[in-house]
Amino acid sequence: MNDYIDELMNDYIDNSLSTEKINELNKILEKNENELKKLKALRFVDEVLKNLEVYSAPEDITEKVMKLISEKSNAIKRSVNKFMVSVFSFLTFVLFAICLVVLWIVVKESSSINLSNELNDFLKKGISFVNNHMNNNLFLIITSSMTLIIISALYFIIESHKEFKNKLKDIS
Amino acid sequence: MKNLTDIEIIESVKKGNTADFSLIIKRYKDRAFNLLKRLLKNEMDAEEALQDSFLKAFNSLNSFRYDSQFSTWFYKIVYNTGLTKLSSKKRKIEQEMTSIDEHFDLADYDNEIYSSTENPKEYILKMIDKLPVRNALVLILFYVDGLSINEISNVLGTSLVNTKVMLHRSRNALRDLLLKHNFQEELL
Repeated sequence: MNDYIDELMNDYIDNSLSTEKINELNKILEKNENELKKLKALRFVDEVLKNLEVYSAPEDITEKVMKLISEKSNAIKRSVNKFMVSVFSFLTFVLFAICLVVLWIVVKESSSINLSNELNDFLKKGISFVNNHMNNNLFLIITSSMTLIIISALYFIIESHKEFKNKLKDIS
Repeated sequence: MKNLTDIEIIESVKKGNTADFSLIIKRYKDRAFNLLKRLLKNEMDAEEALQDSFLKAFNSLNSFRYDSQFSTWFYKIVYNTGLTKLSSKKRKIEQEMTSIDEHFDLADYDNEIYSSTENPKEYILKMIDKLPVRNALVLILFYVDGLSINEISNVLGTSLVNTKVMLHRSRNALRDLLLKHNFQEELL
């Protein structure tokens, strides 16, 4: 019975008691002064709890957390950028190699094509010029080295640009 | 910006406006710190756990499914981070996390606290800190954070009935202490 009355009182404090149950509680309280004391004490506990002191978080917590978040997202962005640049460089290199192979095939096959007008003659001359140089190992080495140097330079330019942008963001 | 709802802020953060997360931090830092300090009973641990909680929340924002209030979802992270911190400190977690079926006894602290307090309010405030951790957390979440019984049960991972029982038992325990020391004379 005590547990039941306790529950009624707690529900009453929380305003979750039906009118019927409130009447039931009132009848109990009228008959028993001890229960009335209990309800008053419970109400006092409820009031104290409603005015509980809230501990304040350290003032700099927002800055600390935002700094950690910023550091982490920058690290993720950098790793993603490096990965993207590597993929981009590799794809450029592959594309360049494919172009060379296609050009080589075209040049090989062009000798069998019958070209009738002047433009075609000009193209044929150009192709044969490239063909002659393609057979030259020194030319191929120089071209490949130049390509590698250009790709590497592009990579470093992009990276330094990204780092500079990140620094600007950090400053702001 | 201060009038934005939690969901609006989260949407903005998800779109890439990371700085807006500071609004969430400002909104919840005190209440979360309050919870962690009650749980860990140590300011430094509470601050560390608070930072971890916000970082976890930020990193998991994409997993927030909008099927519950952001506050409930966030308090769950705070509570679990606090528990992890507590267990990493190798404290007597079993003793702290008294099961709902067990009755707790505040008598060990009662005499000491009673003799050092001057009024019932001060006495109750001191005794709240002596409640088993989960019981104290239920009171904090209910009264300070304004969470419903349903939301508290989600945060603590307890059933609705058990959460309600914990709330009632905690209040009744404090009430009984007031009656034991005849504080009711001052209340009436």
